[in-house]
Amino acid sequence: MGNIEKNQAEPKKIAIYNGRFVPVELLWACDIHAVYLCRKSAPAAESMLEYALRFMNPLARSVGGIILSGDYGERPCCFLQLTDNHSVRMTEILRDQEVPVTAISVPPEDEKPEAVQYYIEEIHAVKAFLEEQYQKQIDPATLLEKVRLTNRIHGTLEKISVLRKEENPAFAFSEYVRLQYEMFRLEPEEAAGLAEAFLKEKEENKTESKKPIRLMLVGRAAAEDDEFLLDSVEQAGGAIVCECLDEGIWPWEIRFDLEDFSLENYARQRYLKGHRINYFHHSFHRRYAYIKRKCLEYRVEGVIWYQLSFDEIYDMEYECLAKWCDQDGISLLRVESSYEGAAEETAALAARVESFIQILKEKRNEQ
Amino acid sequence: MNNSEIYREFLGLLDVTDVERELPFLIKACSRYQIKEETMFRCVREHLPRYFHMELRGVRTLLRLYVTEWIGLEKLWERNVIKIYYNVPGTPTGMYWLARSLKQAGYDTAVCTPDLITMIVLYGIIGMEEKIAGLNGCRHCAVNMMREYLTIRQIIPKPDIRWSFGLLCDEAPKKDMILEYAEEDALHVFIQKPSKHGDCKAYLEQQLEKGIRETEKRYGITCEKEGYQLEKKKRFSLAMRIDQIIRFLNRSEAFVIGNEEVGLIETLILASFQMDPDEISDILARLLEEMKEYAAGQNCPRMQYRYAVYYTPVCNPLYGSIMEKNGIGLLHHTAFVSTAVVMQGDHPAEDMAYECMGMLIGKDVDQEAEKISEIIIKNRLDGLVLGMFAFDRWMGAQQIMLQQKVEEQTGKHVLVYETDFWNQDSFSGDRMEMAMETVVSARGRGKSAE
Repeated sequence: MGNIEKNQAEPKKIAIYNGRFVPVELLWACDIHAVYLCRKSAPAAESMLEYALRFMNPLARSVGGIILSGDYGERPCCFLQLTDNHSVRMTEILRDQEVPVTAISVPPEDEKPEAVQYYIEEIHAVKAFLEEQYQKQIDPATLLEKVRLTNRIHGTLEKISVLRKEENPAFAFSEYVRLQYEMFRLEPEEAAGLAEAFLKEKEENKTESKKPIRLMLVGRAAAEDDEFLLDSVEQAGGAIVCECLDEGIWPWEIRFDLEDFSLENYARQRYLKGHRINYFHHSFHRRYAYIKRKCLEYRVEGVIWYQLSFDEIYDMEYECLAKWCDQDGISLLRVESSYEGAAEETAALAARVESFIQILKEKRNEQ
Repeated sequence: MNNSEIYREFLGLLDVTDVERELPFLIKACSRYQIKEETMFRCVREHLPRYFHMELRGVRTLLRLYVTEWIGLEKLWERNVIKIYYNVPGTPTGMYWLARSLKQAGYDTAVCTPDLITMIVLYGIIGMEEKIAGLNGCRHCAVNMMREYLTIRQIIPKPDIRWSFGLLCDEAPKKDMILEYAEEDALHVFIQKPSKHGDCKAYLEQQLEKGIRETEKRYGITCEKEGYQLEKKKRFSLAMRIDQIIRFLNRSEAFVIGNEEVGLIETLILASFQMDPDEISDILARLLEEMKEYAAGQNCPRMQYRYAVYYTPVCNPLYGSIMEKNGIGLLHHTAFVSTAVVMQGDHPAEDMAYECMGMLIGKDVDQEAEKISEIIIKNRLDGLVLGMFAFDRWMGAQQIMLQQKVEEQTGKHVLVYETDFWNQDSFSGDRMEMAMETVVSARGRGKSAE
């Protein structure tokens, strides 16, 4: 929050959003400062047990708890994507506590044209809501300008990601994640500038030769303040060079086609572009194809599956992934977090990461 | 006693008329599920007499209905039949309608909910202690696991048509997508709400319509509206029969039958059976008459408190019996409350969409609390029991809020006793006994207990 206040001459309307299916460009076009919230907080997650039973993934509970905690003001305006039962139930709790939530339903059946149409209608509804709520017409030209800005940011992030293909990546994944969250807090123009400065610095700054073990991170999210896993990887001599995360990372692979630009066209692309998230129908095979492609492209030596407690559908995906990775000879490690940060949990996690990377080092030496 | 005697005795206990015909199928089924003979002994000698009113013909018939449905799954291996499987909750009227349409076109057809029936028979009726559909790290819903187990281990034949419903659960369709790869020849229809908020009717209607058309195309049939209306009426009659029994128990304030049996009766509206729904309604009508006679002549234990219940864990009869021991009757299952009892809309897909959306437990917590409160007040119940779906990402998530809201709206006691409806591994009878004693003791002093 401190950054927002420093960077704004006048206080702006602030809204929280929680994922890539929220049409953030519409919020920008409405002159709203949109803050992306995907943060780990054990106390916030704990505080939600007043309303919900514990069998809800800790990220959903963290986000809900943070919103209710007042960190972003009392009852901040929220735009929340509903991509599974956890997010739906969390939204209900927030509404019950009189937090103004605009929910964006994301149909899981992305292969069906009716689902695409449903999502388009959701985006129309968000636009209508914004225009009524903020008494500001969102004209297509302004929206187009904001979408261009997204393309600029995504383009820069892609170039940054290309640097990770090098034998000695120019930066650690933890640094990359921190950059992302810093960007998420800023106005889009500033975020674009920050990414470009980061790119320039890293292009110029060659790292010493360490040849870390190259890893891919797969799972729901690398949330803000959830650095233990990333630190463990880096301390053990690994580098996460690519990822397949459904939340918490700027979806830079989405590049909007601006020809024949319209709200429908924009919504369609927002729904259909980018890697398929776990929640979508028939996603496991499609995601595995994506993971395999990334593994080849980034010369990945092992995959880390990062799962949150009580995230059953991710757990189901892991069962499939484990089978397919085994068939294809891809080394895979599953780690799980409850966000509680208990010493036993973190120590066990660090030990497992360390031995996984050790095994991969031995494998590399044998080749 | 030779090896098959205990199976024969089991069938005899349930008044199965042609024991010799059913026996080989029962033995085969037990073998597939690795049900040991000692389990069957325990079932016949201890489990059934302890937990069920076996002296009532209607209760024996009710149990037979479930058991023959389960044995019927074994018979499917030998039948040249179109097998329609679906998960619950779905739209039973629609599924029965498809079966009716196929039958009218000359196809032998079976519409089944094998996972639900198997869970109830193995754990509720037979009292099997071993868990067969292994669970892994997360808290997966055991009925989803059972569905996978039945197909992957080839315990039952693969379906010809599988309808997969994601009306509450977003895990169930995912499980069925995994099964899709093992059931390559089957027609798979996925029906999932695009949103848990707002109006999904048009979307669901489109999807249901597509599923029906695909079935029609595959088998060259036409599903007529008249057939749907008939099935809807049958389901309406069944729902009314169930309601009559619940209202009778509510009035009688005595345990004419037990909580487990009430749970099995309410489940009849959720599951599918190869027996015609009208015949099931007749079974219930006869059971009600018998209950009335039995109540007049017997000294039935007093039902001191009458609670609404989310869904009595029918896979664990001990749960209901502990409640009974403490005088707590579990009536009015809120999981089965629906606004879609009579035909709505102009055509079947529209009504099916209403059925999909009409389930109370598919609605948000405010609507759910309001309706449950209405049921409690209208039926002068003493409270509500929740907690059997604590693990569930949809049904369990808001139970604390539901508790708070219903307590506020009714002033009645809402008990949240955490357990797993399907999987009783962590269930402790002693612990529950103590909890219920506390509840009753506090109620006795005129206070509401936590």
